[in-house]
Amino acid sequence: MAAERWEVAIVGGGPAGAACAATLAQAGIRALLIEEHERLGGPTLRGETAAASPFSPAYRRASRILRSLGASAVFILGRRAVIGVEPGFRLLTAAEEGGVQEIACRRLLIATGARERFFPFPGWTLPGVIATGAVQILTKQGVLPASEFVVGGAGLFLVAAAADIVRRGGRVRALVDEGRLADRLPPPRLLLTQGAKMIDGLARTLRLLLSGGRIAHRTRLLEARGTERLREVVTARVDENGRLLVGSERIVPAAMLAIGFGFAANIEPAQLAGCPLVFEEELGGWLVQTDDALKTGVDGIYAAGEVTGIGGAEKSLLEGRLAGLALLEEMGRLDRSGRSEIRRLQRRRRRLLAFARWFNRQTRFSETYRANWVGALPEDLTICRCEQVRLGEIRRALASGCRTPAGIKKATRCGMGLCQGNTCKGILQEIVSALEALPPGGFPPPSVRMPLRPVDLGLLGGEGG
Amino acid sequence: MSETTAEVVIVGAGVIGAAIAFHLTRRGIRPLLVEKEDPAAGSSGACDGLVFLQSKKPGLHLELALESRRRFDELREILGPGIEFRATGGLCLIENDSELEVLRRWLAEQRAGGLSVELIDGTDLRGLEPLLSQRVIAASFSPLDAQVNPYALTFALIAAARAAGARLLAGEPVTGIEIASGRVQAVRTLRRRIATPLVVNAAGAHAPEIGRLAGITVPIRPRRGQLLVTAARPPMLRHGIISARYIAAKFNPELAVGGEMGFSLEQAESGNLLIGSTREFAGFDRRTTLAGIRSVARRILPVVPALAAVPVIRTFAGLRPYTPDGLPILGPVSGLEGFLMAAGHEGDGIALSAVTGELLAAHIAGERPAFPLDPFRLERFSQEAA
Repeated sequence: MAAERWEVAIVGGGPAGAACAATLAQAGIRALLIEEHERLGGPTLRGETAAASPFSPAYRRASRILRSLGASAVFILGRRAVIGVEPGFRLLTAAEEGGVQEIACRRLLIATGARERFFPFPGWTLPGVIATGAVQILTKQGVLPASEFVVGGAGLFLVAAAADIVRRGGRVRALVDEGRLADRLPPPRLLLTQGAKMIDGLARTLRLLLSGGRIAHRTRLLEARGTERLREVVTARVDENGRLLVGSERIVPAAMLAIGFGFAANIEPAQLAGCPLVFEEELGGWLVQTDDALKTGVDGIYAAGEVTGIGGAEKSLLEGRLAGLALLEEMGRLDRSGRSEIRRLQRRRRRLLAFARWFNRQTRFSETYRANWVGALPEDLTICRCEQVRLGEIRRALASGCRTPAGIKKATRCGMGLCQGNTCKGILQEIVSALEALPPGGFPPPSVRMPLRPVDLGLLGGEGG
Repeated sequence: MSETTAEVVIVGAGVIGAAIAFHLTRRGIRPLLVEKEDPAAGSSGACDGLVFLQSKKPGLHLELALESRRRFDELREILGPGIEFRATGGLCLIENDSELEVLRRWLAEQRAGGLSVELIDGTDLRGLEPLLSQRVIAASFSPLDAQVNPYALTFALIAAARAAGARLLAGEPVTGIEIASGRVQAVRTLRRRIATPLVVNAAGAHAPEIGRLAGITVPIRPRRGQLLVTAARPPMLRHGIISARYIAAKFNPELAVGGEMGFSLEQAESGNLLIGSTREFAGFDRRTTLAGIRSVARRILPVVPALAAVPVIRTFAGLRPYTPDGLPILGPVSGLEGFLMAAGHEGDGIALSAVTGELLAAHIAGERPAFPLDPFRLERFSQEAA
């Protein structure tokens, strides 16, 4: 396959990548769809699609697209991680077992999705503390890893994860959210345009409340406690500036704590490809810069889905379709009805972006708030779990004259471990900008180098490709 | 824009600038380090930690390196174990007879130059390093070769210098150098004017830009080296390792033509293995390339087959400040009083940092340096041209 040059390669088989592949297939273009996991669909659809919420048309549409792909001309390369991208449209992929492979293409769609953001607190590395996204994937597969949970962090996704737990028969003892209740209520404009989503959200909230789950806003995860594994969670109230209210601490026993602080786009493959980035706090931070037709700053490279702004499955499906049509137009394969569909999709996309901004705002806080939040963290708090770097070392690196997260990484080894900094590089940026009183996005995005996943040296040096 | 003054301004907080600052403070001179990014943001933070003597050309280069190596023992005492300096000894691996022949002559000259180094055969070699394959037929061994953590060294030098009164301005690119009647008057950054009689250009691969601000041409070019970093492993290697191909190519350029590239290999104190390195002229592009990192992997695998099962977790590239004759550019510049060069160490910056810091500091303090600076001055290139 090394000699073959694909007309279009799509990195990421979530809703956006799948929708783009289906669009191209309908027009007779044989695209290569590369997906890291065994199944397509991304975290929103992985597992049983039947378990998806009945109020969410996006899920139904996505699963229909996925079924259609099976019979189409799309070539699906599953369980393949893209570990390198080079300007000039060359990709390096690695299979979980087996070799690496170089792939050449003429055009590229980057639809690599998002990952959860975390904010550290004492005990966040204890066994029993997991990501809300992981809970979602497990519950969709019918697995409930514990019977009693605390769910905490910031944003609306906490409600979705908590509702999934309840639906599977679990108990949520408390849902702890940094944000204000008032910010959780959708503005009327969104109620009108995004009704289905709002009904879905309301249904999940009711399910949680009816099960006896307590929702606490303006409340922080102060500490996860336990010796071998999690035993209890300490929470405390905070004021509007993120300062702890002394005496408001509560101890909640829990076997499992699911945490989430919103999402960040998986921009790394686009970075390697040389695509310009843009920082938009309200769309999730660092994103791939695109125009109205989802073209990036590099000719022939498009981006769709969470990488252009965190917005959920519906936005991803729309953007996958839109990028597919834009690619067809670039290839001279689009008729007039296709062009008018592009304009329709662009209008709908603007409405979805308005929702996305509201959704992400739930997980973002003012500079003062973040300064108080970080200021209250203890010196011995682990920031980088791979290299065991603590907050105090980061403060000392700043005092020693380092100015940027990149410098602090060298001074402390924060982010140099086996996870390649994927967990802590965002945390480090947050912490340094808070300590230095800089706005988020005040630093360049963390630099990225191949390989995007650890790969055995024997494979890298093998003859693959 | 604010005003400040400094006895000496050092441009560049890499290992060279840091070493000069450190050695100045030991003489009671308190310099101001100006760095456009962060300490060790350039080549000093994107290299391996080999402090190698075997690779140095007998003569001036080796003498300089020997002096530097002696000073590392002292630095370890002062800066402490945090710099991870280890006198591991080093191996230079020989893979064929023509390399062996070159190395025999090279070693004779190195011994004459005062380096303790010996040739060992394949059997003895695999006794020292059991993971080396049969492909390696012999090696030269020097007990003086050592390893250090390059960024820990840079940060420790800066910390010690600051504790003794040096100042650091990170994140401040130098935008101008004021000169009046052939003398340096001040350095300008984006944020301030620093009145000073002395500027040291320790900007590594960026030294030509700083030179241009002072109206001088510095013949340094960025030469990219790509390296691989593996996950941490229990001890696999005891020595720092380089390929004899590098040396053979210096002696006999024909060996380099069409042949395989050299390599370097070390296991850092953290357990991560560092494997290098390409040598390419690619402008200021610090990206790693598929071809580059795969060529490094392909080169090392037949030499240490056990590495096949070790995961690569990171790659990086550093821009080595290359000079046409392979020697650094050190000392004053004629016709421009108050402007000093300390750049162009290519791949030797870490190894030569200690002696470079000492020589420049001695010169600035008005002492007679342990080494004459003349052979290293910038003028050597214009003489060649004339």
